[in-house]
Amino acid sequence: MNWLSNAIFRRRIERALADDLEAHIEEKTASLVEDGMPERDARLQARKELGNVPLLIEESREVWGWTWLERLMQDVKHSLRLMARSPGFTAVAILSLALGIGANTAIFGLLDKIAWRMLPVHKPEELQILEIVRTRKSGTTKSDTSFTYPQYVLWRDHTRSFHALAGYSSGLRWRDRSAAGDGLWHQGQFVSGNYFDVLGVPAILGRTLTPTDDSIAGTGGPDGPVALVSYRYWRTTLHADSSVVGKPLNVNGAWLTVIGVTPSDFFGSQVGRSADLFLPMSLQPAVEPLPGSLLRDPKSGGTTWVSIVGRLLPGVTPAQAITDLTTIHEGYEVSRMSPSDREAYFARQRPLPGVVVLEPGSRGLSQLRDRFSQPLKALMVLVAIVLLIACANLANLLLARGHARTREIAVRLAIGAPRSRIIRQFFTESALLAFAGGAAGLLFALWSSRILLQMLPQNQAPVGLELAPDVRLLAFTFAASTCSALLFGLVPAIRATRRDASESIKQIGEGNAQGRRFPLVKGLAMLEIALAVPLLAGAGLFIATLRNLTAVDAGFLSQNVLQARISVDRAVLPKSQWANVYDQLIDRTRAIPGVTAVSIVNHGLITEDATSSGPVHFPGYRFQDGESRNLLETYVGSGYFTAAGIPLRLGRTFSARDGETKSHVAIVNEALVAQYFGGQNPIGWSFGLGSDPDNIEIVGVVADAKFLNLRQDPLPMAYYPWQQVMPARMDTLIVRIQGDPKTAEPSLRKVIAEVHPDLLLEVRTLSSQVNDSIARERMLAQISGFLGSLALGLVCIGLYGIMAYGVTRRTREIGIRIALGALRGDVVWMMLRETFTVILGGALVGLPLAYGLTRLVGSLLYGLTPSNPIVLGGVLLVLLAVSLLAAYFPARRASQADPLVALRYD
Amino acid sequence: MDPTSQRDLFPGALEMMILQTLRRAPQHGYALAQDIKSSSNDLLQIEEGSLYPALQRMLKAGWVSAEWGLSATKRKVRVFQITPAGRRQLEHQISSFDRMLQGISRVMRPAQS
Repeated sequence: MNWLSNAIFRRRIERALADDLEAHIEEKTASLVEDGMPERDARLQARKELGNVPLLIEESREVWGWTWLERLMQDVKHSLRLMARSPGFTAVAILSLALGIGANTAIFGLLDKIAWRMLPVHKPEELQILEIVRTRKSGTTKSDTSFTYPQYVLWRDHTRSFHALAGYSSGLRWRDRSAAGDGLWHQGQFVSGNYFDVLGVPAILGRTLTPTDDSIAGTGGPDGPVALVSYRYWRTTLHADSSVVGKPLNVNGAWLTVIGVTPSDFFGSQVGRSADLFLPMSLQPAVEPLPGSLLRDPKSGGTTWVSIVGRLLPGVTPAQAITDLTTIHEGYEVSRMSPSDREAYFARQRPLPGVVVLEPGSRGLSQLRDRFSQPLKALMVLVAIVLLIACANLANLLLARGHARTREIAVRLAIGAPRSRIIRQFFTESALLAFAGGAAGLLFALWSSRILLQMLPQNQAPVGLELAPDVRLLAFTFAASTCSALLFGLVPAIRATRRDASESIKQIGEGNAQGRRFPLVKGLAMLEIALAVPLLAGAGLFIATLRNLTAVDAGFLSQNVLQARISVDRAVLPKSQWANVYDQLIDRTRAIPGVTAVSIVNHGLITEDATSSGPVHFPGYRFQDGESRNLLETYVGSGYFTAAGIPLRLGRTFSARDGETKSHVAIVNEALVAQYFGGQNPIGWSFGLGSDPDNIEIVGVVADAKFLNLRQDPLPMAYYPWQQVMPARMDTLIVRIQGDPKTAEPSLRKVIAEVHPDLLLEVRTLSSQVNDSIARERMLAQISGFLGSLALGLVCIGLYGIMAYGVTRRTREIGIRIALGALRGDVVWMMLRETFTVILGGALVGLPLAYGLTRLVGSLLYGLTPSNPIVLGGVLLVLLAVSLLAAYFPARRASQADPLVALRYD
Repeated sequence: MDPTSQRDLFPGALEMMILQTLRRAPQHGYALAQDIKSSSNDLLQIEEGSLYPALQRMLKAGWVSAEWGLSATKRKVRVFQITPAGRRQLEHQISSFDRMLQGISRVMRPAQS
């Protein structure tokens, strides 16, 4: 702040200096007059001997350090004047920077929130999340971060490498069923008693959980069932009641005591999902009406629902911890093996299924992160490329302007301005442009982030991801602006001042066509094109992926279908009533006007959900060693294939009488026929499950339908009538409707509520579910498409600018050529040829760049490889066409030059 | 900014002479210029104006201080006087100046030394 206080005293000091100089002249004049000189001459003499007064004042000012600020202000003023003088250039510069910086800021903001923002807990970098990596037959690996409860307890009780291992699960959906409840479904998190201690999260009201609260299955602790509520739930639903601690809370019908409120920035350990309730895992059977407790040790398989996180003891390396955890894990796995498997395992014929791994737990787990951090990182690279192109473009435009300003600069250098001062002036201009662009970019980012959020799948209800101008975002924008200013401002600044003054003045008006500057301009244009190639290639690949996915034959007809998710468990219906409820649902739904088909199924389509049966055997098929004997199975009502629009290939569909009789029937898909029957007609053949004989008769074959997601390869699937496996837990009512399915939604909700008020979870159109399932691909395609067109636009502006500049510089040459008889077409070709070499050069550099970069996103593509020749060829063609178009107009203008005018030019 | 930088003489010479002059008695600007000129018997052609930036540098460095006074012609002027820091600086400059002078002399007249 030194210069500030100086500035305050500046007037005083400057006046004193002026007084000093004034007094000097007066004194000297007086003494000269005394020596007999006429007063007029004496005064002149005194002034002359004192020297250049403004220079003295300037020099004195410099002593006090005011010039820095003053020059900056001068530079800023000068720059603003220049910017105002060429509003077109200024607008293009600020707009391209705003889009470039804004796109970077928006993607950075989202990526920061989803992938990089740490958990609001104590020392999050110390946290480790347990993970098991299993290798599939195909060689690909699958990592899993959820475990069964007994697996968690075993690790928690036996580890010697962790302070403590905490468990948590985010699956709970709950609502307050008491009269005080808000009637809405909320998210809840089951956590172990030591969870808050391990994370180091305090309660802002009341206390957190202790291991005692989590010690008795079904009832929690000796004080009965307790829970913490989130800050948000406390503020909104509980009206920030300060005496909330100790009050009862109804969770899915069970009564819990509130013991505390979590901090406002704590959203649980999953990013993008915020829990409103934290309760001990031991309460799972009490509040989640599933058949059987998830706490007990299942005989086989079992639900994996517990994620595990912990802090290493001091001095323990992750490798040591993994060894420790693996030993415990081995004991658990071996205890569950069949005797023959155990023998094989100890004879080292079979490896342990899965390898224990530790993941840094600092960022929390998130399905959103798993699905979106890679695409967002890919987009981050793309937006960075856009910004680079924008910078190269601006550098080029500035170079051209620098040339146009040669005279101004030459004059300034000639009258003694130091080169550093001119460079500073150029930089001030660049910085002003960059910061204006950055500010506009920030606004653009805040505006576009809302659009970005809408591109995320809506049913995952991303929470707390709204972009706000916080410190990290502002710092990023500032850094991006500064880097841009350096990138596009430096070269033109140095270039513009490189020639010495006299040479510059001499060269003005010479109009030399191939000045030394031109290769640099061309180089920058080549760079732009080289950068645009991978960007456009990425955009092309992502757009083709989206197109492939939307064009893929899903095997079902997604139009005009509603899927209503129901839960007989949540409705707390005894198993004996299930069949009756299903029948009622189907009958009543069928009566809704417009409904053409209705059925019930245990897994809705495109819900990432599937069931696999136990070991299966087919007549005449020998399983290879290590080949999975499990078969995917779906329980359906009659009319399912009509409702879902899955075409029947052979045989028949289920009738209402199937399942009522003793004989078991199945309909299989074509993948199963290909896999186990060698493509032969399987109708009339039977297969069996487990130790049963082959007693399930195949009565029909249907087309392969994608049931997990659109990317999934066809897998063998058997459909059974639900009556055959009673009591079957059916999950989805599938309804085909004539016309817009949305119009039937209210009646469908009403009908289901009439059957039972707690049955319905959600109603969605199948097409919106399909849409959400490709939200990632759509986001990539749309954003990269937008960025691609942005880059194309920038390249166009750049090429147009260079051509126009080249034409202006070569006006005289062109005039001579035309005067000497060159044809207009020759002139156009001559100018275009230059562009052509630029494009070719850029493409030559850009193609390997594209090859390297697109290989990184191979896993995001569908139905094509990164080096798809059609996409790459298309990119080059588009670039060529657009660039030639941009270059054609200036070239044509050049060819139409009147030689007389052209020769008079300058 | 280096407070001893200067375009005439060698760097710091003007400051040294100003300090030396002020050590004898506080002076205002014009008197200071006259004094330096006359004591060098007009051998040193210093530009009078260059005194003022030098004085500003020395004010900033704290080697001199200024207060309002009256000139011989009863004009209100700023009178500069040397501060203790200025005296220390002067001692330092004189000794390094002496060493420099000795060095130069030996180079210029090796036979007589």
